[in-house]
Amino acid sequence: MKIRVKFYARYGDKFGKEHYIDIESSMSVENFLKLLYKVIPAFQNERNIILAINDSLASPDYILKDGDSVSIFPPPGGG
Amino acid sequence: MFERYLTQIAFAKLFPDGQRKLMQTTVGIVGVGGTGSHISDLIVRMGFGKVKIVDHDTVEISNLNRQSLYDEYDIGRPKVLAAYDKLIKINREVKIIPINKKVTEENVDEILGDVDIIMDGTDSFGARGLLNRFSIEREKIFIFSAVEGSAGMAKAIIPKKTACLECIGYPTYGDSVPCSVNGLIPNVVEMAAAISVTLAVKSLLDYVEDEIVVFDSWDLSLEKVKTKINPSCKICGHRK
Repeated sequence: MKIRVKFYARYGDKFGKEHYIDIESSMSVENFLKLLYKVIPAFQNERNIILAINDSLASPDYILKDGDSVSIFPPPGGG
Repeated sequence: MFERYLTQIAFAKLFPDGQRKLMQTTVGIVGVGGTGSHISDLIVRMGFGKVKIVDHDTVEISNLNRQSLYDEYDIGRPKVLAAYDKLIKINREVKIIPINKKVTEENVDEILGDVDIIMDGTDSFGARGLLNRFSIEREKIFIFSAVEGSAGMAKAIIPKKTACLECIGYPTYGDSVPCSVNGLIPNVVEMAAAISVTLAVKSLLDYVEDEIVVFDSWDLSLEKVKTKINPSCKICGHRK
């Protein structure tokens, strides 16, 4: 099944704003991230990412479903 | 008394008890740089009763493109004193207290112990972490906001009701990358300030949702990410 991944803010500039990743069924968010690091190796250097599934903050053990959208935000630090 | 606020109290959610509530509220604005200067302007104009503005920096020329309270005559002055001079001319009904200090673990209670709402105008993960912990411990509303590039986030942190910074995985220690490195367009600090003050008013009047507001002033987008208190959160989970 295909999972849509959206990168926001500077992540969008760095990694591309949108990707579609093929996964097997029953993949947790934690394992999906590991797959994403393989697909986009430079992404694994990022720390403290904020990750949402559809419109809610994700927990690492959430199991992805067909049609889910993963949104990834860098933590902004300025003010 | 309300003539000054005629247009905002014509907005149904503020009239009349909402405006009275604002006027009885003490706000602490920590950091009066980019977001903080715009927040200060709005908070004073809207008529919050007492406003403490806290910062330890001085005005520099590189601030002037986005820090709305300062002009060329202020370069070299402590920010809180320059801000105070501008703000007292806006609304004499608001008690404004400038505090030329950096907020630390040692003085946070002395500076913010009497406020009802803490507004985030800081620019470091560590400063936000301190305010997050203090607001949970002392049960004060904390309106988090942060910006970078053209994007930002904001959230109302209401102890026992909404997720805190630790719950959402936002880093709460150390410095962040300076905006001179990652860039920062002036528009986004105004956007952040407007959203922050909306969240402050909504929190006071009990309209706020548990969510992160994510926005981008270049893409002209605004989205919301629902959150909830993490029962395992070491800062607030046990207090729910």
